[in-house]
Amino acid sequence: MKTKRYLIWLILLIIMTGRASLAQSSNEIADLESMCTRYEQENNRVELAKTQTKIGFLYRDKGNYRQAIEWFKKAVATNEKLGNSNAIRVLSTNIGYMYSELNNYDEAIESFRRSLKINEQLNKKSDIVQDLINIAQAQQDKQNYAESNNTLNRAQALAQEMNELNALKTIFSMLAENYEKLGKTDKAKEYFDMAASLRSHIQKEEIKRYEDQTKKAEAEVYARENEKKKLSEELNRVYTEKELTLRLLEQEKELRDLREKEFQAKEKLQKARQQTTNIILASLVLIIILILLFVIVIFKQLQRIKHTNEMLSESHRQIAEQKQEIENQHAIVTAQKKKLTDSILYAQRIQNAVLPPRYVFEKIFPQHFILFKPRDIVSGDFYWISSKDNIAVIAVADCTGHGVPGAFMSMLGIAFLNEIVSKMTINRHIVAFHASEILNELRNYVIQSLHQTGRPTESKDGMDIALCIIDFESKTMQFAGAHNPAYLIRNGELQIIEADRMPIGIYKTDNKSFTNREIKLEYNDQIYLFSDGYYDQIGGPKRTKMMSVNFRNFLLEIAQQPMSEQQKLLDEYFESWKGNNEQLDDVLVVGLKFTQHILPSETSEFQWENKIILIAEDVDINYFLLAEALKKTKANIVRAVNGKEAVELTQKQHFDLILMDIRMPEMDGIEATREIRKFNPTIPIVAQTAFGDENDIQRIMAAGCNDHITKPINLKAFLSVIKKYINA
Amino acid sequence: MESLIIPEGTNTPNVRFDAKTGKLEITGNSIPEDVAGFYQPVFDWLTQYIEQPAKNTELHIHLNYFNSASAKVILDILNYLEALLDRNVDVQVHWHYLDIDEDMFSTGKEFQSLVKLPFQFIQHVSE
Repeated sequence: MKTKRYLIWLILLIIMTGRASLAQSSNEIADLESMCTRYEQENNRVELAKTQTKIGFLYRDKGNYRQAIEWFKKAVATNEKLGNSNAIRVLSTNIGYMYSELNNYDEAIESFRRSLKINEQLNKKSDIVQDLINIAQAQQDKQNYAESNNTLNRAQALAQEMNELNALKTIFSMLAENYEKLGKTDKAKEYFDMAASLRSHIQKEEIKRYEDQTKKAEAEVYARENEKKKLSEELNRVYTEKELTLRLLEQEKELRDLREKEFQAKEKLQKARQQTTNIILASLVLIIILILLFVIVIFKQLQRIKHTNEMLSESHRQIAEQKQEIENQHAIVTAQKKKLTDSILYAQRIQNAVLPPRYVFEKIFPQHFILFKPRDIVSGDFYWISSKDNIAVIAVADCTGHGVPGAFMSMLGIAFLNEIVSKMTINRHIVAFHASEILNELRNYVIQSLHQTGRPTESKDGMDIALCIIDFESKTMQFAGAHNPAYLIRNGELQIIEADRMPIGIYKTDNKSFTNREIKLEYNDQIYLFSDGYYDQIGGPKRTKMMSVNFRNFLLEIAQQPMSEQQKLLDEYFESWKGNNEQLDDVLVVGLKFTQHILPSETSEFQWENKIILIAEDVDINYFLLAEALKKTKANIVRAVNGKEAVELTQKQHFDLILMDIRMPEMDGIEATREIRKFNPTIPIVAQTAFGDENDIQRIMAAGCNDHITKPINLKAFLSVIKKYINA
Repeated sequence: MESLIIPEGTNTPNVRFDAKTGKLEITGNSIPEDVAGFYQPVFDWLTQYIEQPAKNTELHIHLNYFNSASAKVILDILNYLEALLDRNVDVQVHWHYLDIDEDMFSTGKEFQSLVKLPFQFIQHVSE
């Protein structure tokens, strides 16, 4: 610690004596002392203070601390008069140091405190730290360690605030020393380590700073040198380039001259040579031509002999190749055809499934035949039947095209007819049920679904059709036809029932309704429906069309035969007409014999031929089940699809009984019953309840129903309930 | 303008369209597999002909048999020729049929109802 103190001392000394020359001899001191007396007399306090200080330092340097202290104190007094607190501060510190040297620690601390007080007033933080360190040092020297630590703690806080690393290092070392003295070795070690690491940090920082400076300087030197080098290189290059260019230009000129001379010489030589070469070449060509001619003549002779042989073997080879090729292609074609045929065969299964099954015809027309001969596997012709109660609807149609395209169209036709006719039968009380209406509707469906608008480029696909509705009860037939007529044979005479000359599909007159024709039927009347495929077939002795007239004549010829026999004969006639010619179109002929329809008319207790029953039911399948259950009773049935419609119908029309469903859209059965009761308290209303829901039953009975039945229905119980009310 | 001649095939008719005389004839059977393909040259020719027609144009349809696809083509040909009416060309359709072939006669009648062209029905007696 002593070395440290000396160091600070030395620094202070240099500062303080900067202006004064170093006088070390006693003579000097004596001179200065006399100068002091003079300054005192002159009242020159500034110079007096300076001189007094100087004398103090000289005594100190001599090691005469007591004298030094005395003179410093005089200087302090003078400076006090001058108000020079900065000087007082420095002098006090020096006085402190010297008291320390004299082991007079209390005085030393007193002096350091004086400096501290001034520094605190001036807020010189670095100096405050130094003062505190000095005080702590003195306290340490006085072996007053705890007090020293307190002072150091204050110094430490301030040093940290100022980031005074060197001061901190000193503080840590002193703290370590104090703690060691106090016997707190752990704390001592901690501060010692902190001091050590701070020291090495400071050293490193310093080294680094030094290194950085060095590097910076080096870099600068290097950059300068580089620049210089570059400049000189550039200069060199420019110079060399210039030199080279000049030299090259000279050389080039020389070379050009040389070449010129050489070229002229060569040209002369070339001309001379060319002449010689030309002569030689001409002779050579001549010789070659002669040889070639000779070779050709001989070769031709040879070839003529060879060619005949070669031709033979070549044609053999080609034939074999072609045969192979044909066989390959045949295999491919066969495979493709098989694939196509397989898929069409499958399509045929679908078409057959869609066409009405034979037993449906059987049931309605026990005597009938269907001659169905598709040209390809699937057909553009189709037949269709639907029956309800005493009415049967039969259609025979011919779609544009045949084969697959025709079959597509026929599927559409069947689907449309199903939809149209089932709609009409359900809503029989709303829409008139006419053959012509069915065709009009079918035409709308086709035009709409094929998106036909009448533009010339689009498809004019559609179908020709013959459609009849046979009413077994009234023994009448309605007929409507698109291109295709129907024939009726009665008592050995054939009557043509004409069709309209327009198709099902877009057409010039597609806004015109089809004509509905009505014919009274007699038992054993035979009705024929057909496409034109049969009588348009080309064949016969002169390869002509069969024509409808011949078809009709043949039909008359065989009319006496049973229907099944007629089919066989028609088939034979067609095949014999066709002969070896190909079948041109699909063939379809349907023959029906009008016989007494065997109605399911049991003479039982449930016969309500003259009664009309309203079924209010929104679900189709439930309606059909009820209608089916009532079928044998011959009761007339009208349907309402919701409660509102039921109320409206009851207002307009007389019913003998209402079957009322409970849950329906728009207006449910309970509300409908209440409404009907308002204007008709007597009409029997029988409610249908699902699975006998007690809650429903109570509500519907309260609304005014006479009775209720439970779904699913028991036929006998159901009819018995109806009977109770309908006959009353 | 050159005339159009397509010789008769097994399933295709004989087409003789004479640009100079204005006599356009279709004879035989018309049952081609590819109807549009067969009649394409006919329509190409007609498109030109309509631009420079003969003063008197006569279309002779003398078919023994035609399928429904060919029927549409015949209607298209008639529609093409209708354009000549606007150019003051005298156009006539001669519809040939066999006396026993009422189907061909009524088909001709139907075509007549569909276009504005004057029709003449020429009956041929069958042997």
